[in-house]
Amino acid sequence: MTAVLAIAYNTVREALSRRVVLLFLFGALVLIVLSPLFSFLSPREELTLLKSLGLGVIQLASMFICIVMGISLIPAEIERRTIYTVLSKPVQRYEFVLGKFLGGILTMLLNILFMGLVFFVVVAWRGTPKQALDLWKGFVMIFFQMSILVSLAIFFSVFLTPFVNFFMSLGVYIIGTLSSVTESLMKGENRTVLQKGIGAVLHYLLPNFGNFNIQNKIIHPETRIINEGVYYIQNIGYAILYIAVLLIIAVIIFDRREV
Amino acid sequence: MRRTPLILAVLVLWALSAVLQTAIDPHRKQFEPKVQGLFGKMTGLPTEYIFGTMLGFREVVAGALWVRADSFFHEGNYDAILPIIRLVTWLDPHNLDVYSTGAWHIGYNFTDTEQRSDRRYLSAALKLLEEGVENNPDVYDIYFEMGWMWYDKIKQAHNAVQWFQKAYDFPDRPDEYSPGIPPARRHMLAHAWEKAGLIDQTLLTWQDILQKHEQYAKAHPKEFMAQVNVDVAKHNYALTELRQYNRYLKQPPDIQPPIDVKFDVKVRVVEPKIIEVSGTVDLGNYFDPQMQKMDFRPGRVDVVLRDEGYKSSILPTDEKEAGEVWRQKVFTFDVPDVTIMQEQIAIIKGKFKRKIDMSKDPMMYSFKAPRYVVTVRFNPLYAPPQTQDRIGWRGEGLTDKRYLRVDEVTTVDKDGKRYTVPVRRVRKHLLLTREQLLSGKGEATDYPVQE
Repeated sequence: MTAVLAIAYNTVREALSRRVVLLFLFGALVLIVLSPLFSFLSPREELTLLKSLGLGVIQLASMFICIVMGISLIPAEIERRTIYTVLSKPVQRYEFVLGKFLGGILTMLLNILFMGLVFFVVVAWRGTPKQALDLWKGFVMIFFQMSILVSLAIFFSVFLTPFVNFFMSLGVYIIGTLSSVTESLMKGENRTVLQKGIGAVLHYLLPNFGNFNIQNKIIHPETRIINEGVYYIQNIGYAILYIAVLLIIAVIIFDRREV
Repeated sequence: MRRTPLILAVLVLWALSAVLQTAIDPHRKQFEPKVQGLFGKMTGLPTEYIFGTMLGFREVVAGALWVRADSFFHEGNYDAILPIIRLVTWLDPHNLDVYSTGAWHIGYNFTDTEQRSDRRYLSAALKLLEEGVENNPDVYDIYFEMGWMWYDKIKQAHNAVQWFQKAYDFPDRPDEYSPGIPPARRHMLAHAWEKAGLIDQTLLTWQDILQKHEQYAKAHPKEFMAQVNVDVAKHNYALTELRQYNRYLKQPPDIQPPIDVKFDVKVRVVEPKIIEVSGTVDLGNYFDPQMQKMDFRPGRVDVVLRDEGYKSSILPTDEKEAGEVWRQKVFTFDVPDVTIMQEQIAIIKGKFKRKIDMSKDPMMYSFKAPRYVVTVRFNPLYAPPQTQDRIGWRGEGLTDKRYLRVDEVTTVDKDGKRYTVPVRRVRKHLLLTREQLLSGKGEATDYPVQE
């Protein structure tokens, strides 16, 4: 466990010093701070727009940070040959993968917390502190959504080049956000067996990132959601299961890879 | 590392995630747009809107589209607004502004060159509000908007009552960020009961409102409007009670004996698609001579022209057989290709007269039917209070030898309880032909309607 934590710690340090990650973070922070200026888009419902824009920016920036960071977590170590030093020590390969993942999600957590804090202040300023407090559910769901994305990028990184991995991760993320589309493809009327089959594969095989998009409830807090707490717990459970699946496969492949 | 147990673990975990996904799916719909296959329906939108939607900016895209709709409205490009309203409510079914303002656009703002709204769109406005209620049952707003549409636009307070009641059931909203109903908006329920002709219910409602306002004022002693609301409710309660006494209870009541309004109507076609409606509703010299000098207008008559055979209960024609043909099952902008014109004419010194031009808007007045029925009526329920002081809320103080009709107006409250009152109105139906309307010559003949 010490080895995992040490790898995670180093991963966080390294990731936070990467310019591209900081660039996305900085860009997101600027957009969040400036978001009140966009209230002209919805003058009568400024907070609706503010919350929607802020949550969207956090999600989008987190997605890019996740992918850009995730695709290089393991390949960078191989390219720099630092992996040999690590694996020559009493560190199992699964510990290495786990450490990288843990470092990745901790980096994500710090980023989301930082962006969330700034966003919290903006919403409290334009609305009320109570409305700002409502945002926490959104941050939690974005964190778990991004945790799956980090594990996906790590999974692809053990057998794809970073360039291909970038597009693969992005593509799977976009398809995964269309959960309602894949579900309707699977269950909709007037669909052929083939369409239904493709829908089912996409819906159950690919990670459903759309599950975690709960912004609408936060933007419109007056909306009553049945079993809201259960939904969040189910989503967290889903994220943990899916991350476990991806990481185990990544470990299996990485274990057989010549490094 | 042994692979087999790991592969087995992957399969088990993946199966568990699929099971969990099945449980998540029905819940997820509560957070999503209500329409399946929405992205397919967004064809035609600029790419940035579609990408924005896919990347988590659904509500931002909805807001941007809504601003676009607003600019179209100011440009007078109404046709462009309609699909945007549809898309925005799909993208963000909890955006209350789109339902309320959208329904207002559809119901009030699609007008002809003389600012008469296109009544064919009322059904679409009502359906949009119905959708708004379905998607937002936990806020008072859309219930209230629905009530307002019935009360103000359609002028059928008996249909507004149940919606205002549903809005009324919400707790008081102390500030704009809290859920609940702004206290002053409760007054609309009492006004609706009154315009439905149900005065006992009106008084009971004012009593209840007063009690609620007093409690609120006690809890918010520093809020200026809280005390104003108490004063308004007290005033309105006392005024309604006084009016009830003067109009019905004192001996002899102010509304007796009934006055003969000598109702009559003439409709002439003066130019192609231009008609002149004139007539008499002699409400007598019942008001103060000073007010007479001030050109006081004791009310308005409603005028409706529509295709013969087109009957709709949201037109002020009061035909018993007028059905629900207007009601949309699914929200659509496709309106029936019929000609409907609705107007009001002020009564001045017992007479009314007005030219109504339908020549400039062929989309609204297509005149495809061979014959048209024109109905003119005077409705005491919506008459000004000074007029009601003489004729009563329900027209008990008016009569007419030829055109008096006693309609049973039924209010169904939110619990399904029915209140039926007789309302005495004067009403006349006339007939015009397409040839007359297009040639610009001719006079409408009496149209016998079994009432």
